[in-house]
Amino acid sequence: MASERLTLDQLRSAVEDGSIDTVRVCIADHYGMLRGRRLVGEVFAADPQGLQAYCDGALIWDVHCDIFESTDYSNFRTGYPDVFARPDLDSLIRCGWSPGSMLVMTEVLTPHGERSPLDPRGLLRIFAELIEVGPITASLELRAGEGPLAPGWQGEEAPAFIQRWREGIELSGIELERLEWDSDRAVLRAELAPAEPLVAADQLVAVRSAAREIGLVDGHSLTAMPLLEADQQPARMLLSAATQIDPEAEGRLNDIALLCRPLPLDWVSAEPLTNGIELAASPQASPYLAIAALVSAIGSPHAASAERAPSSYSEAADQFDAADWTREWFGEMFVHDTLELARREATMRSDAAADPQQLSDWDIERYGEVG
Amino acid sequence: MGRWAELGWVDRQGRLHTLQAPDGSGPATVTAAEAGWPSVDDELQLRPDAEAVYLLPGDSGRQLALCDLVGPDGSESPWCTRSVLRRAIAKAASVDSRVIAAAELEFFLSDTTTGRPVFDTIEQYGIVAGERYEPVLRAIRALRNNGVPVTASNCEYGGGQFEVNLHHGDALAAADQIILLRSWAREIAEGAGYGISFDAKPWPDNSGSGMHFHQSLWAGEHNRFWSPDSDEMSADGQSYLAGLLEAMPEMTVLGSPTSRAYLRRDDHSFCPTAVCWGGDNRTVALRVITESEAVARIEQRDAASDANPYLPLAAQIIAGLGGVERSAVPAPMTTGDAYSQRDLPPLPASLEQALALFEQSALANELLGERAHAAMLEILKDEADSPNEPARTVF
Repeated sequence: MASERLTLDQLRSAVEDGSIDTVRVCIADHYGMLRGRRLVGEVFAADPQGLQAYCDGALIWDVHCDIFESTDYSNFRTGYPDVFARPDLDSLIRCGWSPGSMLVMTEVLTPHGERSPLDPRGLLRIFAELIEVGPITASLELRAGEGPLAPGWQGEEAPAFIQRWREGIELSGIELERLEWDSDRAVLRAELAPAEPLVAADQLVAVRSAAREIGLVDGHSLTAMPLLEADQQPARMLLSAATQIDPEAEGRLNDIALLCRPLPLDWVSAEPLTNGIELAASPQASPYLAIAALVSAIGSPHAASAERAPSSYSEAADQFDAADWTREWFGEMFVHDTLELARREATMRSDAAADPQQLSDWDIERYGEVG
Repeated sequence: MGRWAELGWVDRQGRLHTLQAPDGSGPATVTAAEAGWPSVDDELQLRPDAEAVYLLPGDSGRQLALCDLVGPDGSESPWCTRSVLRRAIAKAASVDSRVIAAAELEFFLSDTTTGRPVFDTIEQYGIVAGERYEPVLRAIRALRNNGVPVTASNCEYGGGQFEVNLHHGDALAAADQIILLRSWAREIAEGAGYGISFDAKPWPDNSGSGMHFHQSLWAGEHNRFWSPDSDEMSADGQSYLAGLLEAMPEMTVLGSPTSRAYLRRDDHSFCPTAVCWGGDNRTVALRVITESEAVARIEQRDAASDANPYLPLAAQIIAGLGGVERSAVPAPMTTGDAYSQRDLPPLPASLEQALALFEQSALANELLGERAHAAMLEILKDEADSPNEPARTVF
C-alpha cells in the first residue's frame, strides 16, 4: 500500500555500507512540521528503540517556536520538562531527497511512559485504531510563483524542481499518483496513492518537507501558505477517505474546522471545507490533525454542535470551543491549548493591524516558513 | 615522542594549538605567556598523553596527541588547565570513583558577508531549516570517526543556532573532545564558507550558547548517584548535588569567564540565574535525572559555550566531591518556574560580581593553586575593567 517502509536490517546494512550516515528521529509539531535530531546512523542502529528526549514545548509552540504561558501542557510553571520520543520503526523511510539520510517518526511519551496528550501523531493513531475509514487519498498543493517568497520563480524552474521532488519522493518509497506544476494557479501539486491514515499523514509530512528542503537548498522559497495574494484560489491539502463525508460528518467537521485550517490566512478566502467527498484542509495544517479530524468526523457518534460552517478564524475557534464532543475525543488539554494557540495567533495578527481579508508583509514573514 | 604527527595543547581560554611533533631532538616547549598567562615567564614542556590520541580530520591518517603542559623538569605546572581537571579526577579516584561526563554544546553558524546568523527565525529541532546546513553539521557529526563521539545534532532555540551532543565517557576525555570539536568544527564551517561562533552571547538580540555538563560518579559498575529504592538520588548523589550548589556562585567565573557571558543570564532565557536544583526542569541551574541507574546524573546548566571546559568541569567535580566528603545536604528541590522565585540565592549577574566571589574562594585556590588563582584574577579583572568589548575567542 503506497509505501515501501524500510526494515531494521535494511537500515543496518545501509549504515554498514556507508550509504546512510544519518537518521532523523522526528516528532511533528502542531502544524505537522518535522522537529527532531539528526542522529549518527550507527548510533541509531545500535539502539533503534532508544528514546530521544525533547523539550515538551515542541508540541504546543507557535509557528515560530514561541512558547507562552497560557497553555496548560507546556510553560515555565512546569519547567518545560522533556517528552520522550520512541521511534516507530514501521515509519522508517529513506529520505530520497537528502542523500545519506533516513527518517523515522516517533511516538511521544510522557516521563511516565504514557502517550503525550498533545502529540498529534499519537491522536491520529488512536482514532485510526478506533474507526475504520479505509485508505486516505491525499494531495498537497504548495505555492510558488512570483512574489516575495519565491523571487525569480517564473515557472520554468518547475520541471527541474519537480524532477528532483519526484525522485526524492520515489526514492523514499512513497508512491505518487501525480506530480505537477499548475501554472494557472501557480501551485505545485502532489497526489499520493491511497494509504492507511497514519501512513498517509507520515507521507504528507515527508512530501511537504522534501519540497521545502529542496527549495531551501536550491534557493527557491516554496511555501505552504495557502495564498500569497488575497484574490488567489487557495492552495489546499485535499483528503478523502473510502467512507464518504455525509451531512452529519460534515456537521462535525464544522465543529473541528480549526484543526484543518489552523492559521488566520486559511480563512482569508474561505472556500467550503468539504464537498461531501474531500476535506479541503490547509497545506499548512498538520496532516496528522487534519486526518484525525476527518476520521473523527466520520466515526464519531456525536451530533454536531455547530449549525453551519465557520466563516472566519475566530468563528472556527469558537465552534471548536463550543462543540460538545471535542473534549471527550481530543482531550481537555489538547482542546484548551489548541484554542490558546489559535486565539493568541488571532490577537497577534490583529495587533499587527493586518486586514483580516488581505495579505500583508507581516503575514508573509510570520507564516511563510510554516509547513 | 614522534609516534604522533602532531601534538595538541590547550591554552587558558580553552583553545587548541597544534604543532608538528619533534623529531627526537628534545621535547616541544611553549611559554606560559603563549598559553594565555601573559604575566608569567615560565617555560612549559608538552607531555603527550598516550590515552588522548585522535585521528586528524582529512584522509591523511595522521594522529594528534593531546598534551599536558609540564614544567621543564617534568613536574606538574599550574599553567596547565588540563592538569587541573586531571587533579579533580584523581581526587575522585582516591575515593574509588570514576567521573563520567558528557557535554551538550551550542554554537551559531553565520553568514560571513553580513556577520549575522544564517537564519533569523527560531527553528528549534527544525528538520527543514537545518537541511541547508547539513554539509557542515554532517561533517561535524562525522568527527566521530576521528574519536570525538558526536551522537546527534539539532537546530537550537536561537536563530542560526545549533547543538551537538557527545556521548558520555571519562571526564578528561569529555573535556578534551569539546576542545577538539570546537577547533575542528571551525575548520569545517569556514571551509564551507560559514562563520561559526561559540561565543556565550554573540548577538544581543539572539539566544546565548551554553555548555551543559552531565555528570555522575561511578564505583566500578555502580552509579553512586542511583538509588534503587527511591525516585530520588542516593545519599552520595544528594551530597554531591549539595556541594555543587554551595560552590556554584564562587566558581561561576570558570564557566563564564567573559563579561559577555553574563548577557546570557536573564530571566526565562534557559540560562540559570539562581542557585537551585530541580527534577526535569529547564528553569533551574542543576537538573537531576534519576530514571535508571544507567542514566542517573546531574546536568550542570551554567557554563557558557566559550568556556575552557577543563575548568568548570574540574570545579564541579571538586565541589561535588567536597559535598560527598562532608555528607552535605542540598536545599529543597525547586519546582515550577525558578526565574519567578525571587527568594532563591542569585548567581552572579556580572563578571565583576563573579570575580569578587572567586577572589575570596578557598575552593578556587585549592583547585587552581595560589599562583594560577591570582594570575587568573588579574587577567579577568583587566577584562572586567576594560571599557572595550571583550575580544571574541576564536577556537
